[in-house]
Amino acid sequence: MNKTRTSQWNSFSGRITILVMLGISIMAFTVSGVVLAMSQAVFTDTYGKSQEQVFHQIDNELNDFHTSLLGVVSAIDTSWAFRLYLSDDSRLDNVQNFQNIYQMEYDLNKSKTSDMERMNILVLGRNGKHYLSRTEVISMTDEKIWESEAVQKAVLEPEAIQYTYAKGAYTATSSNNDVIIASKALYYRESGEIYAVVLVTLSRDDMKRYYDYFVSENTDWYLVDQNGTVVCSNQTAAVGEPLTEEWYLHAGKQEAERMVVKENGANLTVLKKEMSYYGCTMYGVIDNDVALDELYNMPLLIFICAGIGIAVLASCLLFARKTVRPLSELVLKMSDSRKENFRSYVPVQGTIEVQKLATTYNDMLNDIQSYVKELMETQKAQRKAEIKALQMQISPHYIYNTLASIKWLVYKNDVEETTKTIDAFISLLRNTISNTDEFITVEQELVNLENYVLINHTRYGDAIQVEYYVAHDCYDCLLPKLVLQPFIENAFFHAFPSGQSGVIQIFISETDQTLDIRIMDDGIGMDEEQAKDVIRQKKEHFSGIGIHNVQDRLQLLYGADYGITIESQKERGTSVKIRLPVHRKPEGENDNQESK
Amino acid sequence: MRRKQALSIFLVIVMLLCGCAPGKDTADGGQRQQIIIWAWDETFNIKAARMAAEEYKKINENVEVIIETKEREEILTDTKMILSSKVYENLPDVIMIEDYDVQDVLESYESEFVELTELVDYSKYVDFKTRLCSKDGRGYGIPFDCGTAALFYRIDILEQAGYSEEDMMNLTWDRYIEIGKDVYEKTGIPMLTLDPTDLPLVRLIMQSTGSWYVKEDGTTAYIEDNEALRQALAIYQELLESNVGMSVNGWNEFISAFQQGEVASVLSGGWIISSIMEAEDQAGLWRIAPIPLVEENESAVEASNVGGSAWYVLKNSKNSEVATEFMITMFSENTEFTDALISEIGIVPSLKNPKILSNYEAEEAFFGGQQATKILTDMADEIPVVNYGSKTYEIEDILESEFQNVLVDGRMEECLKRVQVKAEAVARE
Repeated sequence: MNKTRTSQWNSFSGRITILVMLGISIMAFTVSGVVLAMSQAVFTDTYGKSQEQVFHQIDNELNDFHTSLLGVVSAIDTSWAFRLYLSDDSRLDNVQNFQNIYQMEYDLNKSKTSDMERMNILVLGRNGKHYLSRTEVISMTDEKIWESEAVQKAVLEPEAIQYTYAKGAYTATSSNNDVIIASKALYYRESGEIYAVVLVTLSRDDMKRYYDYFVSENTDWYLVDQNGTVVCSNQTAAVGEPLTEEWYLHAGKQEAERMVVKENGANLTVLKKEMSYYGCTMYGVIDNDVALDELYNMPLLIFICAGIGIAVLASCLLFARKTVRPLSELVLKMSDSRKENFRSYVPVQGTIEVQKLATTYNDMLNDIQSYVKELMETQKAQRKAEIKALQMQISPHYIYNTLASIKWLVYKNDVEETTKTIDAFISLLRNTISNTDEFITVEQELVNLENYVLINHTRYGDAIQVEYYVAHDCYDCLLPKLVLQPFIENAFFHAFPSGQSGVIQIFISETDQTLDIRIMDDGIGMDEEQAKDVIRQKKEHFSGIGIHNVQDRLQLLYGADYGITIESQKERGTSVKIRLPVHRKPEGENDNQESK
Repeated sequence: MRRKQALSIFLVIVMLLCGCAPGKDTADGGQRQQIIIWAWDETFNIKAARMAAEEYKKINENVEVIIETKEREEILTDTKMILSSKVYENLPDVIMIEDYDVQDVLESYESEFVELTELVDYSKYVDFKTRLCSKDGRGYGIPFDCGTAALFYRIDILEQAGYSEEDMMNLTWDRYIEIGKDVYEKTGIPMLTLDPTDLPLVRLIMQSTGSWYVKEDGTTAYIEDNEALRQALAIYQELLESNVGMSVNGWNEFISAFQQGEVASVLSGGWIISSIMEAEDQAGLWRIAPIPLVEENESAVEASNVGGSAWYVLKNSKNSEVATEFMITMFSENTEFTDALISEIGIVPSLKNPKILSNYEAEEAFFGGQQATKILTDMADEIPVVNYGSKTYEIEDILESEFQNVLVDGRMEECLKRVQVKAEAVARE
């Protein structure tokens, strides 16, 4: 039962739910997809553009820095103090040297712009003299410094400042750090002889202030030299390594300064700028997906969609369930109605449609019931009429044979016997044919039986005696006419074959509002087969009522609780038991009957 | 009924939305806390900080100490810049400040530092040090090294010129210059280096007489009538002109001069020991003696101070509390660690009673078995206490510039007059 209910559920609400869910999901996905894609494109473009501005700012500032650096280098180059200090044939005494050193410091400080304030500047002379701007110690030998790539580059191209990436510089604090060394050789204009080299070490911290405001979680900055090696970046791990990323290879071929590159599914905006002074290319890489993630709170979006989806689904389920419940209850009742004889009405509830359906169904049940009732009434009436008709016919054979017996008595001239027999016959005929009452009292029935027995005695002799044992208070009980006669008849003709003598006893008593009637004989009895045959046989009878329809009749009148049971044993006799409800004849009616 | 249901559904949605709305995680994983320390001198302060960080891992492994090497001036300017802008994002937790600069910083930014009066037992530090790192009786610094000055010299070079350890004791400046001249003549090696952009020697001599660029009050420029300064500059000039003091430029040449045996002595604060000892090939060749005496000055003693610094914790840094805890644990209460510092970097602790330290009397083979720490610490008591005021380096810059003229025209009086005028302008608060 539960199962049918669930499956109904599935078939109805389930479908609605699935449909709604599908609809919502499709709508949510397509709408958010389209909106996101649209805004993503716009965002990528505008964000890229705004970042490009910042990117150019870095470019400008780095170029400014280069200019400042150039200023410092040229200040050193043109300072006579530095020249003196770095020249081979210095004839300065100690005091002059002291003054000279002070002058160097003075010249340099004068040329320093604010961005050069704390720069690590090393001036290394061919004569083995050093000038180091910071409170630090040089941890590298002069030879090593002269051999270093930065110095070599400067020596090869003394006209310009060279920028070189180095893993570790010459001072103690920078010996293990990634640095960019700006190098410039100082040379005599005329001879072209190089007398010193200026090295400016740019640590990551120094560089950081140039790119720091550009980088973020979604934006990286790379300074890449001509060999493709990262010279400086906020991605510390990448520094000093060649760049092999897809975007770099892609951007390298492009002329454009801003492009969108897809790499491993990531959507990157790559900014590119050649830094001619530095001999490097500067890249800005914006991960638009991450940037978008920051912009759109994706989990929240998904969560809201899911939340609304679930809410709609839940309400949809509730609504569908509420709508379907009366319907399913209706269906349930309908399928059970046959078992309950169309007596189970359905409650009228739910939507108007369902209510109408229920009302109609209930009306239909009413109709069915009244039809059934009518049908049964009709059938009952028909049956009654049938039986009435039957009980009113006396078998013509019986009449012929009885009249023949009477004729024989007349021949014998036995007037008294003749009179008695004719009286009995008349009484019998009156009671059966003329009396149209269906029910008669036990007393009347006994009279009929006595008459019948008397006639039988007249016809076949009195070898078979009939004895009546009737409880005193049973005389006025009512019973259907000709109920007992067929059994007496049966006993007369079958229990005692070939002139055997015997007794038929009739007991009538009342117990617990039940009229108990027993017809017992001490004849030959019968087995079960025969007992059944007895009920079925339609031989020559006194009336249309035979044993076969007594049972029908009783049950038609009183219901299944009442009726006949036959017990029989071979050679011992047969006992027929009839159970009837006790109905007594009303007093007045009795008098009426008497007068009749 | 229907309305009620709708309402309940709506409430459920709202609850879901509120409850599950993604919030920022408040607790971050391992709760690792970073302490950023700014200091200078790789061989000394930085090394000490690194040792402390290493040691502290045993006590609290969730603390990561990041030590950044910066120049002394850089620390000051950067810190001041951050403090004045009040954007504390890049503020370090601990900075080292030289004793000369402290008062200037505390003057302007006292409220930015963690007050340690209750947390540090200042009574165990020598009084002048305590005074230096406090303001109006409120302690802010954790005293680190005492800048007790001494004469560090190369016994091998002096012996070459015929001088013994004995000769280097109880020197006067005249005697020192005399020896210097002799040594230069005999070996070609000058006695010491002189940097025109930094005059620690002037400060050393001045303080040995109990005098400074400013008067007792710390704000009145004291140049023109400052006998000690005049004497110091005279000595300076003499050293320079007699080739006893070799002109060098910058810190690098100052260090490399003695590390490479280009000078026979160093006159500096005790903290220079760590740099001297870097030159391992010179082990055993160095000796320590008290500084020369300014004979002409009655209040002069054979003890002085150069530099010296202390740690300061910044109140508004990210992990100020953790940093305070770290600094006090390692640099104030940990005598074992101080012991380790003595043997590793030769620190001269500014303790009143250094005898509690087991390495205090250790004999240092590098200095021919002299009890380096003991010698320096014992001298600390004699150092005349001066009020540095807050403008030491500003005034010195003026002096450096004007002193150049003295070398040209020899007119010391004029020079000091000019410095006096300029210094007054600078020192006035």
